[in-house]
Amino acid sequence: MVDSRLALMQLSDSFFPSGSFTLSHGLEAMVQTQQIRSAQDVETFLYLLLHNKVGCSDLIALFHAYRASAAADLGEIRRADQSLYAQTLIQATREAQCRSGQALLLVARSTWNDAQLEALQQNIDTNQTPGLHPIVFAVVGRAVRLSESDTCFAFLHNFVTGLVGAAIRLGVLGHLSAQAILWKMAAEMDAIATQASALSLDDMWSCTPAIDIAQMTHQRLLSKQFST
Amino acid sequence: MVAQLIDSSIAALDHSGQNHLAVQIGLDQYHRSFVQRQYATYPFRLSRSLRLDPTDAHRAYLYIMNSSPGLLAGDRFRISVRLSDRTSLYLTDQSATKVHQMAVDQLARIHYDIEVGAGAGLEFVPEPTILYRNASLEQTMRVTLASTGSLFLSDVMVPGRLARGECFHFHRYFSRLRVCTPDGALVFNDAMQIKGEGELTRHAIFASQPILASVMIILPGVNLHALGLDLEQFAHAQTNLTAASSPLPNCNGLLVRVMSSNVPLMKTYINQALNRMRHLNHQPALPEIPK
Repeated sequence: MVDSRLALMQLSDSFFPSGSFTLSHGLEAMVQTQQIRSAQDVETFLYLLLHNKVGCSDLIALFHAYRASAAADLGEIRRADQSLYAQTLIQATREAQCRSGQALLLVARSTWNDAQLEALQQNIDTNQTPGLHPIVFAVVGRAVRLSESDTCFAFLHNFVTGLVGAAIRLGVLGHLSAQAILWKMAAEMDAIATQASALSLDDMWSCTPAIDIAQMTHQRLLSKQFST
Repeated sequence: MVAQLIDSSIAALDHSGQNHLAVQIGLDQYHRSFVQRQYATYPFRLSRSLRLDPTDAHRAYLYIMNSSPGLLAGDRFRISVRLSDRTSLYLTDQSATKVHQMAVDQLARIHYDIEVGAGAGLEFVPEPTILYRNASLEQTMRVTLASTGSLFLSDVMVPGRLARGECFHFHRYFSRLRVCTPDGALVFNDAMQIKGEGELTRHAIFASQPILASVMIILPGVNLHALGLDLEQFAHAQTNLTAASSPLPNCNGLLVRVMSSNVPLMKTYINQALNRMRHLNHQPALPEIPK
């Protein structure tokens, strides 16, 4: 059997075409409106998103979906998906999560054989579940035999490197500062993963009002590099 | 059925020690909404049904009156509002809710249980909640909304007595709104938590416009796109207010997030949103709401 660490690296690499690296999560709008101008601001933005959104909603749903996937309980996977969908109040974010979830599932199905991936695709095709990115990521992680913890860290690594990459492309961060921020965020990722693993779907919350507003206004930017 | 629910909830609460207000809105023979049933314990009282708009006899205007100085440690407030089918209610309160200083391990709780029947319309526009130094508040709201019911709901949080430099000095603010269908299916969930003395609230992203508000607008069968654009134009013209809107999941609704450094401006914005919603729904404009 192939070492699961190779699957971990493949899944968390920006080379993996899941579509999530085209998202700025509101960063582009905040850069254009001068709310984010420096490496320190990018760090704050990341910290806020990790602690007040990803860790307390996406990650909780991901853990729940992973455990349901390991128990071969597609109904519970759907419940996690629908709960996260009802908690994701910004349409642009919901649509981006669906698009990147679908892209991830497409690549995963063509790369790895797993009956549950096929069943999940069928559920999405028949509108039984939206197929948000964290949920699909959890099922793919289980399908390639990653542990719950490794799946969580691969997801977070994807998220953080995607955003740091976006900050570099938007010109508010240099490559050296980017690496320093990535290293600083490791402790934050560890902290939110520990918290999220113990929470239920009913515990999900988020609180990033300024970033919410930036995500809502992104579509109306005159020029943009990112889809959100 | 609704009356039975109210009666049973009152019976349960009589032994709970909670401070409780329950109101049920019915429709009279002239199709006017009126207070069909009410129950209040200290510190709550309810105003009589007012007709603040002489051109709109259908809608009742009600004030929740609260004789307490605000929320104190250990308070458990519960407010239940039921709108029978085809009724219409504008509900507000008299003044801001102050959440007072309390010990670290204590908190105040307020829970709203709201039911909006078929074809009914609720506009709930409470005054802001002000969190004093060392305050902790847990606010939960469950709305059961019929598929043809409409809703306008605003919630404004002021993170302290800003004029005296008290800003995000509270312990914790938790707020959860769950909107469900009458058969219990979740439509959407808006939950937020802020730790006032936490590191997050020191950053300019939070602190530059510290007054936070969310407005939920659900109006079945009406295109809300124009409303969103109108509200964004209004916000663009203001220097002390930032706002944007997005369609909500699983319903024909709009979420509006607002940040400001000025409470009157925030209230003006919310009234503007309500007026635009009424306009889209071919209803008369909001009359003056005396406070």
